Amino acid sequence: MKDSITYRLPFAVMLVLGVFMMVQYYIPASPVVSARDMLLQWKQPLNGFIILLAIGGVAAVHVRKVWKQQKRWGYSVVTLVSMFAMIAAGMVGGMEEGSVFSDWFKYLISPIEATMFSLLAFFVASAAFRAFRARSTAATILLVSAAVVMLALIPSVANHIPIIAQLSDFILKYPNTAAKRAILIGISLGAISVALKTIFGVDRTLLERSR
Amino acid sequence: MKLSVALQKLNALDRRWIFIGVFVAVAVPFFIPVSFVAEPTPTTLTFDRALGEALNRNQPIVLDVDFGPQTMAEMEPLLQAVLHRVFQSKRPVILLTFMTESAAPLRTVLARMEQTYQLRYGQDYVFLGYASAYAYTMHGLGTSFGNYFHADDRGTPIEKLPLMKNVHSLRDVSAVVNIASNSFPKFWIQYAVTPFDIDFLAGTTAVQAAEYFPFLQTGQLKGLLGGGRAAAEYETLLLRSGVLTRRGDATRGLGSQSLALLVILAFIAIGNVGWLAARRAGRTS
Repeated sequence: MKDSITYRLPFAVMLVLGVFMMVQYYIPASPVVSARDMLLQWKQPLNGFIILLAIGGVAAVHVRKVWKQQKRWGYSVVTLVSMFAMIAAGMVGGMEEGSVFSDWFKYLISPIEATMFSLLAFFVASAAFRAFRARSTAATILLVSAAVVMLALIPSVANHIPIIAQLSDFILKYPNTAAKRAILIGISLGAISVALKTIFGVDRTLLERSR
Repeated sequence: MKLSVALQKLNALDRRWIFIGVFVAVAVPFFIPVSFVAEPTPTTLTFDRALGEALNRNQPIVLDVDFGPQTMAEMEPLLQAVLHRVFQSKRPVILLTFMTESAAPLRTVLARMEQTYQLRYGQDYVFLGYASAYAYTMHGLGTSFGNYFHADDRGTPIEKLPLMKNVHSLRDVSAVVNIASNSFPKFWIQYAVTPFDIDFLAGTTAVQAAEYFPFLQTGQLKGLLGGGRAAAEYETLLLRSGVLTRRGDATRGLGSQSLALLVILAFIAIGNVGWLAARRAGRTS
């Protein structure tokens, strides 16, 4: 099985394209740039296929749920009807201003999304009430830092007590930036290692799992 | 003793009181106007200076707008402030988006700007519409616009737009500004700003702003506006420089934001008092 061409071909493609996309960063010569542009353009139609796959996946999961009348299958009906109605509205009536698609987007999807996100303010307030307790030295430092940054966001406090604004600026610019940079470098090194393992075929679990 | 018991109860305050408190804090400024003036911080002044330098270069700027209805309350005032600054300077703008949800709100804002500044579509600004595969497109724009945007949002072929005649790649624009509620500024830095050495500015939500300070220090990000508070600061700055004639939505939203923060701080203090009282009671018993 592992010697078959169908198994080896994806790794060969990953190796060639992966190495090329790494190397092209350092070679601004025109044939390399043209080849890179061609590869980048392939991604756009590929994205279209990915969306089709996603629609197919969502539809398959929910049709199965409705067919077998599994728990809460009614929500699956709503999902399927909403998804296909939106697709049909866009394909038949277009997506211009004033179209059914545009109106559904403006008067249904937008308020629903905004409402869901607005609820966060309430949950964040509740979580802050429970989490910001001076239980230990580290927790107290977190509590004081959060209080300073929040106070600095209130204009009348920041305008009248400049030390609060300066302190908040210091927290954001130095301890926060140092921590963020450390996390960022760690994530990047991890990403490089995963990418190299995938490109050179060391990590083959992705393909093997799908078999 | 009674006081101690009352204080201990605060430790396990029903969260519905917190919800009511936040709701009242957010709602009251809509009925009783609370006026706040946000003084521009050095970060906001740096953003304006960098944007001003880019606008003085007599080249178009690229404005990538990526936020949906979820963050519209925070991001739209920020976008409007930046658009006022750019259109007031009479520099051409190339707009695009990598989020399908951004196109509709952006068209509405642009229609308002077109009326306010008597803009001519195709000459003063163009909206190239939505492009998928954001990271690849950002990287590809470094060498070509035409390969990734064949037509604009209205279906006009890109080569027929007068503004795009001399714009072939990101090398022909003075800066890229990304107003985004997601991680797209990071992708711009990785895939376009660093490889092609482009001036880049970003406007993000307040929560995300902390993530971008490292890039601000390295110079990969020339300016940063973080959330509604920064938008209000920018409105103050634009009001003082005469770009705006009246305060915008960000300043109006400061009342709700500030009172909500005060209420959250008050609840945090109440929670700590209750927790300390409970701990003391636990020790004595």
